[in-house]
Amino acid sequence: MERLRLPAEPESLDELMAYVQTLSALGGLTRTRAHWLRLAAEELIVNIITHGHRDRPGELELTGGVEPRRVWLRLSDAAPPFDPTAYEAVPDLERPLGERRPGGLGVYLARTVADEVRYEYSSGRNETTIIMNRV
Amino acid sequence: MSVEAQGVPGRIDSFPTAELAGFGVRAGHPMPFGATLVPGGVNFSVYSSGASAVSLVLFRHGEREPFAELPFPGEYRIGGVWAMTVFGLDHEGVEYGYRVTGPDTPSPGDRFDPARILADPYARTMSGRDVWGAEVDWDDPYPYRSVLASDDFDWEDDRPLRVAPEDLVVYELHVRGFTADPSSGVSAPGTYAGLIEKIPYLKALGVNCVELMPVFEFDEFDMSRVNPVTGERLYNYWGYSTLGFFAPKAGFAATGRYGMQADEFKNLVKELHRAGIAVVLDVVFNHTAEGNENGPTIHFRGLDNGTYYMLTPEGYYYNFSGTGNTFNCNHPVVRDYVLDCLRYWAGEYHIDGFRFDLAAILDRGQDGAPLADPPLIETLAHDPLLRDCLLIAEAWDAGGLYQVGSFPGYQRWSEWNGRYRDALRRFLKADPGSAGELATRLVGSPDLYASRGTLASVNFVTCHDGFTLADLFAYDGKHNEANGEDNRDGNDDNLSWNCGAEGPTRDPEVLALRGRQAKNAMLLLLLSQGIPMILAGDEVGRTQHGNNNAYCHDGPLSWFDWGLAERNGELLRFVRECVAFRAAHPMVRDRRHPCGDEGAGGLPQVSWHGERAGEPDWSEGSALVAMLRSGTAAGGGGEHLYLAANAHWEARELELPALPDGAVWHLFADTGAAAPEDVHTPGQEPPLADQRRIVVGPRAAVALVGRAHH
Amino acid sequence: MSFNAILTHDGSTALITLEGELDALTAETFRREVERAAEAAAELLVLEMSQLSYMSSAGLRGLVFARQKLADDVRIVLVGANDAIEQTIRLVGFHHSVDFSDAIPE
Repeated sequence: MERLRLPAEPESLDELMAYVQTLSALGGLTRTRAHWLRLAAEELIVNIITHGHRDRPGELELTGGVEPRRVWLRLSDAAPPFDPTAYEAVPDLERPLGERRPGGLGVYLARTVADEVRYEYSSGRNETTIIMNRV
Repeated sequence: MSVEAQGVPGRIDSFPTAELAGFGVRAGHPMPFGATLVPGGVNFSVYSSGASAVSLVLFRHGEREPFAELPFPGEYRIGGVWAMTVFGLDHEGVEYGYRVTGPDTPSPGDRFDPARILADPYARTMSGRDVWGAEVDWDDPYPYRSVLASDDFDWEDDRPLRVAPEDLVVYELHVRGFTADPSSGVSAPGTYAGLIEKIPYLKALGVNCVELMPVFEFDEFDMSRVNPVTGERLYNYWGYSTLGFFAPKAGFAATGRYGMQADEFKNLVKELHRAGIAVVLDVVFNHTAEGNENGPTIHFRGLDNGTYYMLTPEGYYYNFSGTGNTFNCNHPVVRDYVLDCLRYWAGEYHIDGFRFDLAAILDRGQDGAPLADPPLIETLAHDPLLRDCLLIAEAWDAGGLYQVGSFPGYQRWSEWNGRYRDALRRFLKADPGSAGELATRLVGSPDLYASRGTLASVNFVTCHDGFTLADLFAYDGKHNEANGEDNRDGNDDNLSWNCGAEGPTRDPEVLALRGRQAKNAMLLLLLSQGIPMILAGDEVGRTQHGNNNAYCHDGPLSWFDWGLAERNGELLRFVRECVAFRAAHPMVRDRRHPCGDEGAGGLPQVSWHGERAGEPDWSEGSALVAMLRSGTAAGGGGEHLYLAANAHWEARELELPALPDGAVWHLFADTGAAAPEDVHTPGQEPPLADQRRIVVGPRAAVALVGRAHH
Repeated sequence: MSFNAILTHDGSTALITLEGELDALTAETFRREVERAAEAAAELLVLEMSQLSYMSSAGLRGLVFARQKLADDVRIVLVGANDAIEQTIRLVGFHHSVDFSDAIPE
């Protein structure tokens, strides 16, 4: 698919997510897998917008592709390095809701529901790739 | 007439308590608003938040001077509502208006003007433009008059149709333009009655919903320009400038001169319903005919300017509609007015749905900023009387708000999907990067309407605003010189392509390509999920000679030429069969977006293909989309649809996806084939000789149906 | 994206009907309704989700917020959540703090 490049800000989220939905449609993902791709993508995109670009304007770029066995979505941004695959903040799942601090859920969810999340930092850019198997 | 003569038992409120200007009167019923026939008389009710005095002014039809003026006694006012029952008024031939005096100390937004006589915003019929285009008295101080109307039409057992929205095929037409041309052969050209005579044509085409361009009373003379080419007068032909929100356009009625337009319009609705055709009205609540500071004072401005219009702090009109003023739809009073109006049309006229012109304006708050939860949109979504009505938003406005996909729909509203139109146009002219988006549009735009399903999307390639389908493939640029604005008006970004020659040509290759492109567009439109809308005339190749903004032309340029039905019978047949195909295959009408879950016979609901089965090309240079849909057939059991569109100038040989055992590919349509092999009657499609591959011609599309051979 | 949250009361039960897609952009609407429900001192909060097609962690945070706003003895019941949403809630362990149900409790 053609790349989509938008300002890394909350106002871009609808359009970014529309790109992800298009990728799911073109990949012929099942309803459940499309749901997981969307969830993983939203969590990682929101993370980039709210943390990576909190105080500095920048752009977020999406590219995606459909392969015979899988669909991939790549998020590229120039924020300070952040490796979601190394992020250790697994929430304390047994702790009652009322005692939890908000946050920390998104990256955990993304890594759990995606078949694979890959990360690379090169030429000053975070390249985060979400992979969903088609079957 | 006497009370007893009507067979109504004497009621205490049917006797006057006072006399004014020779009429017996009494304090009236504040509700309902407007003029209502009551035993022995007429109840008048009108509201204004700031008026200090109101009088009722009565005219006889055709007479310039009023025959009576009745000032409302102060005690007839409750809150801001002035109500009075007038007895002994023969409602036949009586016209009325109000003279409204403002407060002694006006507010900045006030525009009270007691020198003028105002029309009733709730007028059920209006006179003044009774016969379309008839010369008018330009000096008449009260040109648009409110008229008393009786609601005694015999509907018999008619009710709004409640066609399941997924089954709709919408046909957008202009009441006058549809039959005004002599070639229509109807007895009353250009009227509601004339349209009735064309119902058999609509039935044969297979559409089951007409979307009527504005039929609320408007003034076709409200522009004062001439065609610089011919010197002819230019009209407000489209009518997106409402005078009377409760009044059907008299000039569209053969009987308008007799004040019978309400009955004639109701009869049209009844006859359309009898034929199974739903009626959607194009309604214009974003602005009114009163224009800006220099516009005429007709009603709202003289009653409650600051309530009905969005005003700047200095009292000027905001212009988000591009027409001078902006109706203040999220003011509680205006919201109620809009609701009253739509309920009236749904209840009294049995209307099946509404399409809201520049609906993004309805999201704007009183300061013009978009609201997260616009109360009017929400109110309409939940109104009991409107529950079964289609609500369709034109989800943008002239103030730069573009909300396709983000219009607050309350899981209820549909949208004119402008992105569908653009995606289809881009693909058909083989723009780079258009294949993937086309695919998404074919399955009902899940990127835009994930939670709302396919019915949120009204799909269209053309509408009244822009090129006709024939012109989309005959002109690179617009040709609007006849509009009198040096070709500056109208959209410049049409995504059109003239197929090799600008405008008329004799080149057979260009002509053949144009014909194919029209079929491609219709095939893709009618096989897309969502609600399809066809612009009237596109099924017979109607041209406007490159004019993409024909709002001001009342003539052959904008009228339906019925000779085309024969001359372009090939396209007409093609479109009919596509409509029939849609009706025959529930899968195409599915409310849900298809996904990779199993559809039928072990195949997913949707899969994408290319020259090799299972290998779609989503690259920027791709000009090929091939879709396989699998699901339940009309009679139960599984079936499969294969739709392949090739926008490339060369033919492509495509490997067909394998079908489950026993199923065989049949050819429904091939726009690259010469008629009559371009399309087959649904259910009678011939099996393909080669079940493994198919050749899709240059800039052509094919549709196959996979089912057991019998 | 399209999302609505509508709060209604039935005696001491607060019912929030969620429709559409609950994501980072729409979660604020949800939180607002939760806040209103908490102010009304309900004894039971029902979240009707049968028309909710999607929920991200922003929605989960709304649940945390609800749990924290409401008194400890106020039950939160989720009705009609689709499989993916229920699974999301289980993945983060929130099912210990809320109840799932197929129908609105009497």
